[in-house]
Amino acid sequence: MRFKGQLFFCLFLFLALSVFSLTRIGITAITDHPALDAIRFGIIDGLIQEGLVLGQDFEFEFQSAQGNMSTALAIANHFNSNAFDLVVPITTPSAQACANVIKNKPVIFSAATDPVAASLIPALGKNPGNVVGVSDMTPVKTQIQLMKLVVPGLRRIGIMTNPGEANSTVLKDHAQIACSELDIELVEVVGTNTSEMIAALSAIVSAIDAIYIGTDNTAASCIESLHRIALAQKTPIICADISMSRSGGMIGYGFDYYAFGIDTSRMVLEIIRGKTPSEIESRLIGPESLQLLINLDYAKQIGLMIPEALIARASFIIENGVEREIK
Amino acid sequence: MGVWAVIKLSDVSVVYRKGEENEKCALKNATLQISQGDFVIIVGPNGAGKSTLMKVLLCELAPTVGTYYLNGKSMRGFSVTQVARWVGRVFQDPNSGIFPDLSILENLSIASKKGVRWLRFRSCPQKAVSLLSLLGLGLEKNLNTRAGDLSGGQKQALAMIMAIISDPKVLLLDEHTASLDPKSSVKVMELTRQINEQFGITVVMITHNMPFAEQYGNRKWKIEEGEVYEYEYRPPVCLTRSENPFPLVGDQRRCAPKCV
Amino acid sequence: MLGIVEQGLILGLMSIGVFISFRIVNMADLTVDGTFALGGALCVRLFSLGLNAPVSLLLSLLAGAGAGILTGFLHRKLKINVLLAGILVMTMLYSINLRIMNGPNLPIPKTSVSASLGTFEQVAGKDPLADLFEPSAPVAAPQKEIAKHRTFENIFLGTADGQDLLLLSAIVLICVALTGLFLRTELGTALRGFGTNPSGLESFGLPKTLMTLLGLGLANAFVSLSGGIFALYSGFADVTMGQGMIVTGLAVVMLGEILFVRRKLVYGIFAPILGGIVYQGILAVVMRYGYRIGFRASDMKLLTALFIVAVIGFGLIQTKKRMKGKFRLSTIFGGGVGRD
Repeated sequence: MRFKGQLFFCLFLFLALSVFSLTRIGITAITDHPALDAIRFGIIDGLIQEGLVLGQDFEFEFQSAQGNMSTALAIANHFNSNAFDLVVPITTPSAQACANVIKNKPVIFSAATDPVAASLIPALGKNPGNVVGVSDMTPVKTQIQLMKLVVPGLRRIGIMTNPGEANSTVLKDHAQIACSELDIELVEVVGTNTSEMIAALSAIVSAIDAIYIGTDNTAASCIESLHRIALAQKTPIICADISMSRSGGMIGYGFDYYAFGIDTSRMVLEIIRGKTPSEIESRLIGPESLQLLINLDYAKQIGLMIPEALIARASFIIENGVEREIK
Repeated sequence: MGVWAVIKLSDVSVVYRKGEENEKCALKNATLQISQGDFVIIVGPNGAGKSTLMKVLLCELAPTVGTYYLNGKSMRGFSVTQVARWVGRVFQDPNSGIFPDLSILENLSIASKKGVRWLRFRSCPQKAVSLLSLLGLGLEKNLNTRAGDLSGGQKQALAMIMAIISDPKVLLLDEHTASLDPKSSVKVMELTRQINEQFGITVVMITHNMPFAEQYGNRKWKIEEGEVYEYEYRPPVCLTRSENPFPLVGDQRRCAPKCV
Repeated sequence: MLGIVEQGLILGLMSIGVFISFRIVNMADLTVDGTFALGGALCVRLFSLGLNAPVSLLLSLLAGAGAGILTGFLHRKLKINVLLAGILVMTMLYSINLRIMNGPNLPIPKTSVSASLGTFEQVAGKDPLADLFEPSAPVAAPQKEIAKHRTFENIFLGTADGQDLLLLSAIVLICVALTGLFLRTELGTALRGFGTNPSGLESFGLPKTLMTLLGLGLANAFVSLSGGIFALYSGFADVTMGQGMIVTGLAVVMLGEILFVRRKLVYGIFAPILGGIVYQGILAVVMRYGYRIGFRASDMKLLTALFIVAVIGFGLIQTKKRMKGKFRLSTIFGGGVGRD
């Protein structure tokens, strides 16, 4: 019995080392929410649009870390095996895990807000090494200014943040700078997981005039609950992510993440076509991809008037339960 | 060898659940003395207080009233592990006196020291091995056998050897042959006698086995409802004395205290 | 392949700790989940504060021992059931770890200076909606202390492949050797005796409390050392990194006992190392082929637990067949675990 077990083990190990010829892509994200899913779909669709056939020219495996950093590490180790040719981690924590573990394969991060602060790359542009990608750095100051425009007498704005996410901390710092320029007080609403975040917001919501949600993944995972708490206190929410704002924000100003995925797929394509990561520039998504979504129903529910000038610039409007695309 | 009291109980009473409804007095005003070399047999019905007496002697239980002296020193406030230095014990379950997962060698090396030990490599003193060979069971030939693999009788024999390796003042036995087969029981009892007569170790033994109670021991006590009666007395074998300091058999209830 | 062996060694080291508490001292110690994360958190934190890696590891080892001693103390002095005591300390450690890391995770920084991309406006230029707003006076960015992180002289990553393995093997072997020597001493033998017969040891003058503290302290020292090495190896520490470690550790211990023929080598401490490597191997293979049937990385915990159930069940059947044999699994797991 004992030797049988040992034999099987040797067999398994041997199989594990076999190499495959298809371009196998490993995709992972720290958790599941619509924006991250949109990126993933964008990446796949982008490759297909360029003429690659799924199952023939490329295959992909998607693993979600379910919000757990250790699982993200296990996934990174899994992708590090010979079975994968390149890895696309979505979100900063997954990108950090992959960048730490994977040294011999291209790692193309997508939607890491501040890849420099997260030690993924030294700077934008071309970098030596195997890590390259697209950053979704978001215009924090503009988002807060939008709030100031819409909410009369805005004094205190609360920012939902999980200190464990590097991207969240970076946006919080930017928010701090913006708020001091705009003469607003920034209140940190901290939670290390979704339940803590919901509890923290419930405790503070009556003391703030508006809520700002950046690209924090934890907040994105519980957006519906946060929305319910804010609505009860007639507090407006602004999201840096359009799809998140569809689930619970009054205003959303940020990138369309599906388009973001398509943009990332261009980088993936370059790698598949033979370039090395050090030959590709890490970059930001251009400002022309920014979109504005206004939920007029939410505004009406809490009794806020949105200026016409703003409505005119919107890309999407939600009115009477229906979303219309303007531009 | 002079005569002295190894164990002395001075007006000891043990009351369970004092002050509450179901207060029970397990030992009533026991005043007794056991001297060096005695082999005391204690019999009595269940619940009479035998185990309580044993617990007091081990310092597992503190007397509610009175003092317990061991070797002339009051044992008030002492814990089981502190008393272990002077007291060896073997109980009914053969697995409770030895360490089943360790080898005989390791068992002996643990037993050869009483008290805190440090980082010296374990060793088995020759004395322990020679004691083992006295048993005549052949155990000293296979010192690496796992102690838990021995038969019940062998385990108890080993447990007894372990109890006496470090020269305790008194050996306490609580029905240590009760779970053995007749042949092994006899062997273990002979060992007990040998320990008492040859090595001069004081033995206090609780038993339900009446034939053994008659055959062995120089003092026989009976505990009934918390009260101790001595119903037979003979001088201890290893001692020769002209003087008999203790009152004799019969209806005399107490061993007259005589502070030595 | 190399990664499997390296991680297997780290896992094996942790499992030695579980082995000590479950087998040698015979107590079900749940503190392990918290101690693993404590080791990682403390090690990374100290490392980033300027201490070098070996010292950080040593301190996190001592902290782990302290946690184990606390569990033992709660169990012996406050008479709390050992399972509950372990859970209590594990829960305490969760908050303590959050404090140590000042957040739920702490990555080892790769650069010696905190750098950042800069705000959107700094990098991409003016925002398209900027014309809607009144101009505001830019404020000088608050002088953020540039944290002088230790440059991440990565002792594990980035070195030549073989070196990591050598280093890890050396650490593991030294620990095993030291512990083996300890268990050969008088105190160590008494500790092993304590596991089989806790009350019996009192007759030889060793209080149960001392033995409990020693056993649990030693076990958790291994676990936290392993946690620290793991954090240095993977580049970060996370507050949830210990979750489920006790179950994984048990599975590894069992794997080692099944597969390793010389089970009694170094009092059984060597077996979990092999078990750890095999476990990692199985994990890699399962994830590699399991994807086809929809298997996810997070399903591994279920598999591990089922494995333990299967081993115990199998062991029971074995002992029914052979009354007195080498297969003592069922007596070890069925009756012996958690005995006080």
